Amino acid sequence: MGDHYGFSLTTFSPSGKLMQIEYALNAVKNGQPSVGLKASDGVVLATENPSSPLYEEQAKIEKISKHIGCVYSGMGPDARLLVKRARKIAITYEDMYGEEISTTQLVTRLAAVMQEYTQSGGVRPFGVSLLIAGWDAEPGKPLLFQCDPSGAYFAWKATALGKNDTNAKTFLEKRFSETLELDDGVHTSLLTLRECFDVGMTEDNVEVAVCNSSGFHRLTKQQVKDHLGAL
Amino acid sequence: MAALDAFQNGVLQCEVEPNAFDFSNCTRNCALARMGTAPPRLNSTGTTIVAVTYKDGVVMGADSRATAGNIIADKHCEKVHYITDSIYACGAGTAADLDQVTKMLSSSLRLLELNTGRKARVITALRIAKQHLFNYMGYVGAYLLIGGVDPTGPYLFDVSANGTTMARPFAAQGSGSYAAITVLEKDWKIGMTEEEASKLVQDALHAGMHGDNASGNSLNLVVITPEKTIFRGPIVPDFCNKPEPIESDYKFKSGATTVLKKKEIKYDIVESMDMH
Repeated sequence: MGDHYGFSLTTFSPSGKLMQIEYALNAVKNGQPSVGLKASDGVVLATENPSSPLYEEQAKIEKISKHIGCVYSGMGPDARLLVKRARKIAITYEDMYGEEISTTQLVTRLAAVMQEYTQSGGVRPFGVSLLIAGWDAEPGKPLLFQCDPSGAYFAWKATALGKNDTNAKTFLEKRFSETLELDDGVHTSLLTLRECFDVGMTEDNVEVAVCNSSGFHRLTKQQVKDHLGAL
Repeated sequence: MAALDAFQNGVLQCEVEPNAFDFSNCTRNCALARMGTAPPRLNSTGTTIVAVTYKDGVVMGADSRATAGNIIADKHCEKVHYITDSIYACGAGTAADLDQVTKMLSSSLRLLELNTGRKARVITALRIAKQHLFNYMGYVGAYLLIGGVDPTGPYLFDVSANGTTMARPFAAQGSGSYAAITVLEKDWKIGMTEEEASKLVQDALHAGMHGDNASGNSLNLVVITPEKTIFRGPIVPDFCNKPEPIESDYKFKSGATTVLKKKEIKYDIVESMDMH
């Protein structure tokens, strides 16, 4: 990649900022809203996946390994590459160490990949922030991380990305509690997402996934519909 | 002679005598033996592995003895390897090679399932296996029976270390396969039920474990259907149980042997060592 450019396109501005990364974060801010919430017994990921009668269904929330999944806000194709890379990282780790990769290990390795693209020749930073949800079998706890275009990663109890994320985070600060269980977590996530929605929320334009001891699963249309009905 | 003629006429041997067996290699081997060339040595791989397709799916089984020469290195070796939830591979050959190849197959297929969003197919496992093994020209000693059920149906394939593959309705591999295949050839029929297929696999394994000294100890089975996969084992056949204690006592009563002659030899002590 970058045959003719052996130098980095991400360079410092006089103020000490890397403008390419700032612009990448803008791409994230303008992306479709997504929400992540860590409940006591699992993690919830939810996002807007706009549909139209002309579309064929395409899922946005992706599974990385048996107990880890992710959602993004920003440029879909960039996310696709990162997810593929994450899956390879996870399975290579399993091959080498004989056990499933832990969420923190995956996040640090993936964040390192994202950082690489801010300091390599002829490439640009990824235009996505990822929300990675995982369940570590030992000691049996849920984890939620955010990975930014800069390569920075943060552990969250609950957060939101994309359009109207400040509104959503304010909402979460009020409504989030550490004692929430998974079902209530889904409920709160959907309420939060609704804060970011410009249109009405239906089971056709929202995607929800949960990650707990039994693995990472996307909720079916019917399950989403039931949750929406209870809002 | 026919071979030489065919070659000189630029015609393939199989076209000269289309429906007969071609024994020209046998002639060559005899000639080589006469010249003093030793035939290549075959490494016997101690295993009996068996697989059978039936009406709805596949039943696969293996013994559990791993040998190093004449010694049993492992009594409970796991020879039925997990590839995916609906694909398993039984392996005969070099234990390390089998472990690594099946792990590699499993990783590749599970990654493919995630990236394509579809259940992996048995034929894909076959292609990956044969392309890998052919590259190593048989030096990776893995002889696999790959079986499973995918959205297109149940399949069973036979893969050799050099890369040859074959689709089969039933198969056996390993040193115990000579005994096991006789049972399969006699009793396999189309449209068996799961119970019949399971029994057939176990009978074939018994034949191998009984007749081959490099197979035995216990057996493992896996039954793969479109709905579920059930792993059964270890099953210990009756004849593999530890031998029962000998009922007779082999101690002889004193005085049972008659003494015919007695000879006493006296030795003088010349030098003694202090032993601590």
